[in-house]
Amino acid sequence: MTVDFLLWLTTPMHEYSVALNIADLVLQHSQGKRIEKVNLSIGDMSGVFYDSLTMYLQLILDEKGHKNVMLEAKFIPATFVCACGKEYTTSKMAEGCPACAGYDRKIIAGKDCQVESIEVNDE
Amino acid sequence: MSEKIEVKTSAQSVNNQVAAENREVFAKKGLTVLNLVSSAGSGKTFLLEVMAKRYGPEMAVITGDIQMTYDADRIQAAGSQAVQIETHGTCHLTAAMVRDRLGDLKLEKVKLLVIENIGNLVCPSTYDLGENIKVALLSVAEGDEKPMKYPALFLRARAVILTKIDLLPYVNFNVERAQNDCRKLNPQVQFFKTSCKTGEGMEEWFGFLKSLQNK
Repeated sequence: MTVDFLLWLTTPMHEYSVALNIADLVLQHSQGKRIEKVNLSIGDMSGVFYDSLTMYLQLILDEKGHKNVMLEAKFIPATFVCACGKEYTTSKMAEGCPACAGYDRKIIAGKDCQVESIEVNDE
Repeated sequence: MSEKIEVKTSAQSVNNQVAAENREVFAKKGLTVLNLVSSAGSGKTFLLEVMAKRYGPEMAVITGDIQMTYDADRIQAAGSQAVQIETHGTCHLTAAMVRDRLGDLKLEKVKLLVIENIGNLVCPSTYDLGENIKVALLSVAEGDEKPMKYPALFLRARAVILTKIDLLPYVNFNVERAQNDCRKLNPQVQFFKTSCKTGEGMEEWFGFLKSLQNK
């Protein structure tokens, strides 16, 4: 399957444009070497769905001449710091702080989707 | 030989860079910029028509849709400049799309620039366009459980406008629950209960906009 065919077949999800950005980043950093692996981190609140992202990314890298690149993603849970000082991790936004039950909190991790590193080979 | 290269860069880094440039341009022009996000059919364009009647040439709109220029046509007819972005499938606006159409607006008299995003509760919430604030719309017909089901948007929205409250007698919508849930997601949120049809709540919304303006 090609990217064009997939875009003809379906309305692209926003993971497609995220995947395009990631492919650009990866290619910029690859120094012209063959890309073997991409290590990603995907935050719980990043709005990025892993399966769609990797499907698009694999197709895009494939068309850029990088076949069979291994994609690995680390899931980053959403971490908050409460006004009372408590730091906690949750995916249940309806529940407040486990220490004081309050909702005055800031998200400090899990908002982003990031390329952590790539593994390349010059052979 | 295999080699590991650190990248440590956000997938949004390109968009974030353009958004920062947009933000600088907006500030130089003295514009207050809203990024209006909601599901399709919540009443974004109707709200903009009411605002266009109020602000006329002092407001300009960049409106996004998958296809068609219906929204820009309606806003222009109501008295404000509007340009339409047709994304042909893409489910959100990006900072670059906004930058590329900014030149199509005459901004000398404009104080308030509103970017009407694609109707979608998910994807637009994570794309910074360079706006001052994100505004989420929620119509009573959609159901009061939406803020908790789509927290990515309601975490980031500085203001939430509950729309179509004239329909409250006909739908099961608990206003208090929606408001409390929005406050749980963002304690600083400003919550407005409005009906563009009856005009209810619009003065409070206009008052809030006035408090934001810097020109």
